[in-house]
Amino acid sequence: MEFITKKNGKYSAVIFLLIILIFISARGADNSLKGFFLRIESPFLKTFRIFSGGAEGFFHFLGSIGELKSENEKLLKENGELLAKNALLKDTESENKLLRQELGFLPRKNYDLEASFVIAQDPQSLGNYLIIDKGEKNGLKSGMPIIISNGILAGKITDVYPTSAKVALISDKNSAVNAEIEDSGAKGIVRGVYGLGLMMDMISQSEVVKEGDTVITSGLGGDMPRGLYVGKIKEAGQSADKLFQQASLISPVDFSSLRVVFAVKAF
Amino acid sequence: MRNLFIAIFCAAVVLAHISAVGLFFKPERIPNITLALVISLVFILGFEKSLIWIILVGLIFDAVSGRIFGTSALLLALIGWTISALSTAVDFKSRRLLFLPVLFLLSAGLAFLFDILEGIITRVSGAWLNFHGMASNINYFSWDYVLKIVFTSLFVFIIYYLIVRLNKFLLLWR
Repeated sequence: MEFITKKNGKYSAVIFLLIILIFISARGADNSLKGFFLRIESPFLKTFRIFSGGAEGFFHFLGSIGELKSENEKLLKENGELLAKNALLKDTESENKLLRQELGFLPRKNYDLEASFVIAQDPQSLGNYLIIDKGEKNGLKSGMPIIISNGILAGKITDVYPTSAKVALISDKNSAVNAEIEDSGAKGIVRGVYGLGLMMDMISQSEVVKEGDTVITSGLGGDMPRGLYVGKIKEAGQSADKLFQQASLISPVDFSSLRVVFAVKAF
Repeated sequence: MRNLFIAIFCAAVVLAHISAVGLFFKPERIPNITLALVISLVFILGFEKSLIWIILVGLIFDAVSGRIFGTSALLLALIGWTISALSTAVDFKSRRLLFLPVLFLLSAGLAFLFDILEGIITRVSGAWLNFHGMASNINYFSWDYVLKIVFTSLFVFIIYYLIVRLNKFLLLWR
């Protein structure tokens, strides 16, 4: 079998052209090329996602009928606990208002949010990122935090295109968020673990880390507002070099089935 | 008109892959249905006729991938070429009973090859082109990865069947 044929020559030329395209992309055209394609794809992706979301919800409902009773009992119990907590929080809120007035602080501003539909997600590797349907035209910028309606941190914008943006989830291996344990105030960095979970690292040895503790963003560095919910501590231990403590976290978010997220434009 | 239908079909499969399939599978088990489409196309139409569609689906896929634009198109074209070279050496289609298991095994092997090549390209682009996309650390020795490969191979059957039916319908229609 002879390799150097007319057909193979043609295929090699196509491969060569694609390699040139990769070089051009890597030298700065990547963002604009992706932006161009995403502008065309975006409405179709949105439609696919919305319809599939309905179908997924239906299948999920069918599969969960058996669990509904126990789920309902659990929710009723949780509801009672939340009502009690809510009453306590209202009391704290009024106390907070009073103290702020006394100290002359301005009331904490609400976030300037931009609601966006998730239109695509990491199709390959490990669910590390999402594509949302808002971009440069809506005032989004790289680095803006992405949250879910009730103030739970989901990730950060990494690339912005004219009508869409790429969001690196906090579960991505490369993500790093300054965080703190709400009760003890212990500081650390939350990182993704191969897209599968979250790990809080660099916690000082002098801090007490307990299972069930709530982890929030610390706001250090100024790139993220303070107080966004990250997760709860599942298990604490020592880092490999024994210099710090680290803890695995449970996030309340199922990152693979997100539909609507909010970009925090200002905080 | 036949080409238009194939283009719509290809675009629909890739768009479904990047937007919707993830809702039904755990992230680490998401089948690579774009690859399944390419394998089916090359088996049915041949590499030469399907090359344009392979590049099209590759570029659509690349718009949302965490890799450099053009990477998936290149990888898919290389996979298509591999199938074409294998088909020249071994005649899969003539042995009807063996075709299905061979197609399944071949798809599994190609899905594995795709991930290996993608990992290499990600490292090369990081080291030589200074392009650091999203982290992609696939655990090849996990149950999730095995399931991903199996799902991808099963999708090859589904897409293969759909293209055969579409092809027949378009031939009749013409």
